[in-house]
Amino acid sequence: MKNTQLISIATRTQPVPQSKPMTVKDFLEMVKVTLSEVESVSVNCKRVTMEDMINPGDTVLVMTKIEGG
Amino acid sequence: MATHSPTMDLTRQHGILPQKDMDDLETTIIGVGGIGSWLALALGKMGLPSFRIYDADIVEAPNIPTQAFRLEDEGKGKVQAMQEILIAFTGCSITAIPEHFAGQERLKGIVICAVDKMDTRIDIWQKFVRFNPMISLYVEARMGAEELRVYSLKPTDPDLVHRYEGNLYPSSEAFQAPCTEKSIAYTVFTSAGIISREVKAHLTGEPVAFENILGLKSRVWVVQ
Repeated sequence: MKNTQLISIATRTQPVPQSKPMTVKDFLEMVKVTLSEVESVSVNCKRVTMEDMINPGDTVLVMTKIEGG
Repeated sequence: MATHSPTMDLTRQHGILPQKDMDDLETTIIGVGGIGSWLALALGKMGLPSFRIYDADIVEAPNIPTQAFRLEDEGKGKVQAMQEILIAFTGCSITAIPEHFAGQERLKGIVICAVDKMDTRIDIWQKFVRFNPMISLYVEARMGAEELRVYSLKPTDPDLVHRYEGNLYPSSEAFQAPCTEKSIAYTVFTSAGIISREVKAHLTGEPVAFENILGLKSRVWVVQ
């Protein structure tokens, strides 16, 4: 079990204990991020799709749909 | 009204951004709020010679901590205050238009969209930018407190147009931060730096990054 680092406006930065690889979609559901609010997800500084995998220990940046200027 | 004053000595950056790359360059900035006001100052300091700036808003007290305006600017039109600041700091040529951009002129050259609503971004993109051959570089930026996204593209490139449109969403879907958590100085300073870097890449023929995503709170920067 490793801590995966989850970063988002909605959840703030937090470690998430993760024991095995899982898809981005499953990961976000596990941490209760509402998918409709997500603009994009990056894992270890690379943008990914909902079907890509997140491994324990990764850094996950969830970008919300922002609009300020 | 366009104004002009003496130019800066750009000796210290000649090896980074040659002045010849900027001759006759026109830059339009739509929206001079948090992103656009600092960006105008940064691009002016880089020696970009000519700006057209659009904004119909007035400087209000809560704008001052995160926008380039001075305390004395409260109550002035943003473009008027920005014109005074840019002339004082850079001496560049500025045309200040105290209106929301609605196609008053055909956009050309470098165009920066720094408005504060996604619906406005979509409207400007669809009506005045998409496949406009007169625009050499289109940059659109968004921020939310400590997050930042910047898109840079040539709006006649079908692949980039397709990718960009995949990142548009209506204002109704956008995250609405509490009024006490909307913006902070280092996010807008960073946005000016990132956009200026992409403008420099465009001017010198380096690859322009289509997308910059920054999570400043977590210090994560994604570029592609």
